[in-house]
Amino acid sequence: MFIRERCSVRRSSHATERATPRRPNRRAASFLATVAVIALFLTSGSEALSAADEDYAAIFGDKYAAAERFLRENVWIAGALRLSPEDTRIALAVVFPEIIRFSALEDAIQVRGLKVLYVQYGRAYMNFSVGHFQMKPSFVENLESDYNRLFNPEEKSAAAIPAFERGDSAELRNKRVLRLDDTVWQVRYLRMFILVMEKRYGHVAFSDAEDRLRFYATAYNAGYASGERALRRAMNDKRFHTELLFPKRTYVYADVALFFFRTHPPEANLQPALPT
Amino acid sequence: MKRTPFPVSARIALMVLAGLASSALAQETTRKVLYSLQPGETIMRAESTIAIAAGAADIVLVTTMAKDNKGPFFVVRDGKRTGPFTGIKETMATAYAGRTDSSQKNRDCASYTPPPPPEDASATTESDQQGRQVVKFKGKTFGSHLLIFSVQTTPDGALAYLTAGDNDKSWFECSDGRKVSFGGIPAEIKFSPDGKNAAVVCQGNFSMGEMNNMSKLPPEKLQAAFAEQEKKYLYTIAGKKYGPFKSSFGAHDVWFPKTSNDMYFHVNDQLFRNGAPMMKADSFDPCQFYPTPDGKAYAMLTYENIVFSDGKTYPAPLDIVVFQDGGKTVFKWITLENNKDIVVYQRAM
Repeated sequence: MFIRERCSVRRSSHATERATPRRPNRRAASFLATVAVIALFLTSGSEALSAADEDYAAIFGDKYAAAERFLRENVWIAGALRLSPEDTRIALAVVFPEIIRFSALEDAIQVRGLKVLYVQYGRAYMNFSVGHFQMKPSFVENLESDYNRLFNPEEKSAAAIPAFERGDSAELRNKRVLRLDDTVWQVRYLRMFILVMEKRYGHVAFSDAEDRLRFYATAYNAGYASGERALRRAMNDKRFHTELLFPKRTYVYADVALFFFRTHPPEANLQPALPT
Repeated sequence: MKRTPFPVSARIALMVLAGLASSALAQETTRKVLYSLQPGETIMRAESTIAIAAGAADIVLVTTMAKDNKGPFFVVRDGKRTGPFTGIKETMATAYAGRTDSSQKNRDCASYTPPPPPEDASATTESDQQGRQVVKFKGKTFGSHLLIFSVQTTPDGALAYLTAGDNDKSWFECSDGRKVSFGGIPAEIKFSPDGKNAAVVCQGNFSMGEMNNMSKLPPEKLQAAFAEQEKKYLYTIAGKKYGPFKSSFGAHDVWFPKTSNDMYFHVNDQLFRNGAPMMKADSFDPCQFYPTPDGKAYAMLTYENIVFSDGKTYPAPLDIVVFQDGGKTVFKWITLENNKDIVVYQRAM
């Protein structure tokens, strides 16, 4: 009964979205494709909702509190994103699970050697995460490439981020790692991620902000370039954990992001909603 | 100081010039190949342990021949290579069989972060009967003060440092009796690896009482008072005062290295050692800076190289340890050279 009620809420929510589409001019794809997306969404949405009901603040405990504290102590991040209020909320919720993970692993993992290998030897050694937002060089390489490709000079000027140097050399990789070391740049990359997602998935019919958040969070965690169907399928994958190796339990990344999103509603504004 | 991308070549050139004076200290460097990867074999770094210690290197490699970091996997341990393994769990179980800890120690940063003291040795803050605050440490009471800002105990539990505020002044005290007072609000306490040197960055010059009365100032004086309160100062437990510095100066600009008991700070493109100018550096990352205890030589790490103060340069370490031996500072580090050789270098300065 509980689940059925939840499902009906999601259906009505989606129906509302269909009546006031977010991207009406791009939503005229085939009927079958739309039905498939809706079916996929309803399935994932209902499951995710029950999973998202878990109290992740309690599950991750001190690390969750540390992640909240990081955002509270760095209120500049929300402003530096230079996004709309909704996109800012989504952006912060998207990276929040990674901030938890960084808080958990900060003292346990040695990243310097990984950066050295990547700078010296390139892509064979690009699979590691850096900083509070746990951004991988592979993610950033894709982001830089897409930003160069998808944004025209006017858009780049408006975004206040110039085009990135092209190529693959130790010098460019070194510059990229130094950018990743810098929280200001991580925020800039997060902004770019939201902008690139708009470019790539602006046609996608999201039922509401929560659906969009779960999609974006999955894209951030699993790789945004894999396409809508693959991302929809990955939205309930339990891959997230805060162990260095051998996790005892894994969680749905998008659910952790959604929990943060729900517990920091817009009417409360982000900073005052955080515990002091 | 910002940990932002820095022009490595310019910075290193400056440092090398500054360090050439001490090049007479340069010693022979030893180089030893521990293991050579097979053609096409790459290290899965997150799953591997590549750690260097004063005694021996701790090498556990999980490798793959596949470009996408998928299996089959191999394990290199104690110089022997086993495998192939198809699953990563099986591989990891083999790699770390008999070990209780596969995690890596955090030696990424060269600046000193003290580990916590034993729980029963920590100084504690309490309130007295008048509602003022005191610090209790080793059976002694320090204070009372209107407010205890911060208390830190050295890892060996020998000393405690506190910052406190009263209406008329702020305090920076050590449990050994050293005490300095000043206006302003102190931030995080930093102390040296031996626990004996300590410093604190302080905001402004006004006491808590003066700040409470600021609202009574006329507008023109209020603005000047606000500007004054934005300035930063640095106080040492030995009684030295440095500043004023800009408001951007903070606790992160002051540090004690792991390898030295000297206080370093970076301000206005200048690196200072114990308050004396040491070298020009437009930006500076304390995490990559390994000075010798006497401050006459140092190594600076980038992601491409390790550069010594005498100008000698080697491939960047995957891990580094710095220790004292025979009155010299020994730098020992491990690298991957030519994308195949795992090499240990050692150099005394």
